[in-house]
Amino acid sequence: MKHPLRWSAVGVGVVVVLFLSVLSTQVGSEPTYSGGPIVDRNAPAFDLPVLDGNGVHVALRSLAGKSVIVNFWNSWCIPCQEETPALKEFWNRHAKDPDFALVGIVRDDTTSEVRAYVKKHDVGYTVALDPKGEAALAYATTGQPETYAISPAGVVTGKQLSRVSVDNLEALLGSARAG
Amino acid sequence: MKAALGVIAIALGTSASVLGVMTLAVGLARHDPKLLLAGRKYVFALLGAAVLAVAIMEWALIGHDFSLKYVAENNARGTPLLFTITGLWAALEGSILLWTLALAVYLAATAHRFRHRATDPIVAWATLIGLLVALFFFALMLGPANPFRVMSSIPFDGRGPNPLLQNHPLMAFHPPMLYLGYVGFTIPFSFAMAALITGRFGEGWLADTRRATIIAWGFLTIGIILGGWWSYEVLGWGGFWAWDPVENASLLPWLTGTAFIHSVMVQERRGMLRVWNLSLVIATFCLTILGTFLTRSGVLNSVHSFSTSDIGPWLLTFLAVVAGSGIALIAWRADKLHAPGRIDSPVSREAAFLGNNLLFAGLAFVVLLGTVYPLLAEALNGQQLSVGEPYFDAMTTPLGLALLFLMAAAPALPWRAASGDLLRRRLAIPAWIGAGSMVIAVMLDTRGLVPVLAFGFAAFALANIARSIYVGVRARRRANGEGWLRAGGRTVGSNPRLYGGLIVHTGVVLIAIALASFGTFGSRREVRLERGQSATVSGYTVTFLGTSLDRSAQKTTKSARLRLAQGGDVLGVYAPSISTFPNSTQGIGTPSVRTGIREDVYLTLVSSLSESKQVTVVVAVNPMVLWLWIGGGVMAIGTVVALIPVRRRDRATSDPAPAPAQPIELASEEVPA
Amino acid sequence: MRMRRTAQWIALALVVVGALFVATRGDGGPRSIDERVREIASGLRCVDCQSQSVASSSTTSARAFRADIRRRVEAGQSDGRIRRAFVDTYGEFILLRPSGSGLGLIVWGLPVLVLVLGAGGLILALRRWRREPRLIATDADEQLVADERGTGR
Repeated sequence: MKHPLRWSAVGVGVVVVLFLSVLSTQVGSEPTYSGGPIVDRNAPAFDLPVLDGNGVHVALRSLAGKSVIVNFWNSWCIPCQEETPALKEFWNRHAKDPDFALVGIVRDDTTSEVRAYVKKHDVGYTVALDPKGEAALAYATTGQPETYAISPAGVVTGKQLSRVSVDNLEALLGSARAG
Repeated sequence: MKAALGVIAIALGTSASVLGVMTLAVGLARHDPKLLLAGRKYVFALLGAAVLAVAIMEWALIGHDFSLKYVAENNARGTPLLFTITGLWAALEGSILLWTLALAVYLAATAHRFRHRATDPIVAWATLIGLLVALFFFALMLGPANPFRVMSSIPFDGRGPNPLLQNHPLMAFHPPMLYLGYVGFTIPFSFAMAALITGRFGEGWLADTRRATIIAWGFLTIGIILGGWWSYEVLGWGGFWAWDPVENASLLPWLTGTAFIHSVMVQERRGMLRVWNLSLVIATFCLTILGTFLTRSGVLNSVHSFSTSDIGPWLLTFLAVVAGSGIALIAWRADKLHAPGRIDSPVSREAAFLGNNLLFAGLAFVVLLGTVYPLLAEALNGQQLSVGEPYFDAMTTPLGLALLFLMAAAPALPWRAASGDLLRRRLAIPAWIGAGSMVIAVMLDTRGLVPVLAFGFAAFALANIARSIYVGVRARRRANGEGWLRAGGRTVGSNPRLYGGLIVHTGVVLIAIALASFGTFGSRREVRLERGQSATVSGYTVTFLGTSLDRSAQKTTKSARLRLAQGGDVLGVYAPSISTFPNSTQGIGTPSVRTGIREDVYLTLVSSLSESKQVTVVVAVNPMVLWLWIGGGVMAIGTVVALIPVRRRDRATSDPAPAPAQPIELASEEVPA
Repeated sequence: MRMRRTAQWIALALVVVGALFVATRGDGGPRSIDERVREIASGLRCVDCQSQSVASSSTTSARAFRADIRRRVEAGQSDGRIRRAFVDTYGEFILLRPSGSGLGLIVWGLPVLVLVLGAGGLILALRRWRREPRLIATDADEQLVADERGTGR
């Protein structure tokens, strides 16, 4: 072990081993972005036109005091289509609750496609249009579906960046009520 | 049935590699030439097995045999024939199959080339190592990347290839070129390892693998440039290089390979840099494996990661074995690897090559670090980060400019040492041409350090290349009284490696000029147009004529017809489009490009499918883009020239020994007056 | 002769420096709003594409980003403040140019360090080689080589 080249080889070997072990920790973990640091912050305000609402808007401000679930979705995304039944069931359970609101914000779709989808699937909750993507940006969305829970005080208490089940939605609502 | 046949072919390939490795190993241990001669035959069995497996897969693809999972996932009844054939490399399993075929071809070609030296231990060891690499890929296909998996129930129609892969004929050429490049580096790698094992790490293995290295490098170069071209014509974001992880993965072995091609000349000439050259070859091979790992195991997001699977741990283990054995062999041979040698002057060809290697190694390091940094950050403190174009531009531009300068000046430097007088004689006029170009560029309103330096260095380089060729041809004309054309051909033929290299450099200069112009003079605007309305961008007037919708079983395409005019001249009607495919939800935009010698007009349709009265179009004017592809073509021509066998000088006795490395020299000028 | 040669290189250097001086003096005037928007946008990652910036993408979200950047530029916010606002919403992930503090020292500093060490090593080696006396081939050596090559003179 007296030759300097041998020491260099050992050094290079150590660096390679370290590098490969770091890589190996990442094998199998999907590199999905987990969204911006929005939880526990004040929910970003939005004020958006309601689908076929004749100029009626839905604003977060006007929902103050309620537990709000915001669902970003559109008609062409497959996980959104898959979660529609869960959202409908969840809505039917809580529709009469005066302290609750569910808003579906359309992300990246055209009005006519959304209208057809809502009609076909008989979506009963509020669907708001976000043609300029302002709300989608404020909530740091990177795709759809994404679901956020907002407490009556207007604080984001939870989020889910994938397809939701009824249980997921109940848990989100629970966090909004508790927060 | 095809599945069974395919698996048999792969099993045959696996057994051929195992038997070959064992025969060669025993033959080497016992010094038994008969076994060594027998062992090399397995290479051809391997080639047969790989050809068979690929043929079965193509047969299944062309026959739309959806009982195979791979065919069902990457082919549909409506897929056109071209994209049915290219379905072989539309996803991971087929790519590995193509990769293995390429490797088998390289191994067989090498075995054929060294048929008279089959008992030479260095050749036998290199064959053995090549077979080990092949064994790994065959084992992958028996295990996690089996292309011949069957469907439990046969669907009526398949899913079809990824929409992005059935959009442009370039897809037929880009991946095979890239694989031929990647795989080709197996040959110099196995000879380098063989040299270390046998202890013959002089210049022999370099001469033996020179052609294989240049061939691999040439294919990799073409593959990378075709990838850029495909990206420009298909992805529609207006650029050709996004510093995306997959693109970086192909660039990494190219950078170290290019460094190797240059530093080899120092070892051939001066016997120095043995360890460095061995390390570069081993690193290049490791980087091809690392690139495959990064892009095929799903650890990084990328536009090009069309399929991921669970081969990640396999590739990582293989990489660890390859890197580990390379480092261990170098450490084992440490005391014998040192070569006496010195560099006499910092102003000499060999010193310039050292600078070149430092810069290429630096570039490779930057690209590697930037590519894996998000992974490191996530592993070290769970932070999610991005590294993109602004980082890579900032880090690589200075290195690239320094390389351009070296490339301009270095070919004029003599070996050992340059006198001031010689420098002035060779460099003064090209240097003034370079400086003059900078002044002209500034007078033509070019602003910014980078483009002005790039144009100046590029002119300097072109002038120097022209001078080298002129001086060589003139000397030949004077000596032999030949005409210009004949003397030109003879000059190139007398030293194809030198002149091939200079032609490659010319291609690089063209690309450098194109990159600098693209980054400096481009313009881009998003416009919203009603039917009949026009907008003008950089002198080009775009008028929206109408939309058309084209539905087929394959895809639904909406295109906007746009009339393009410059001044009063109508240049034509262009139709950028958005297509939706049954197997994908998002629309795929296809740009429409008016290609020109000076600049391209690049039109992309943005708005969604349902609107028809109004469209949003991005109009980009991209200067000099055509010259990127022309430069790539020139590089390919130069590579071919460099591969022309050396014409033996008028010698009475023929030389049976392997050809010695050709000195890179302007002989006529080197002789002291 | 020698003087003339030196003078020529100095003249060349002056021309180059002059050209570069003019080239970097800027074309005067502050950047327009469009330029600022494009500059900021090209440093932000498009969130629903791969490896593209907000400046080069045409997705709805990229357009929303650009509109937001424009609104902020028009409201008089500084470039740094606008970038910080996006980092605040999306985290460091949104920056295509990673920050240079903390862990960022690795990605920005390490390549520079490696290059400086490499260049330093090269310069040291060149100097050492220069100081070592060079082996000089004697006429007898040359003769040996010539005999070996069979081209004896």
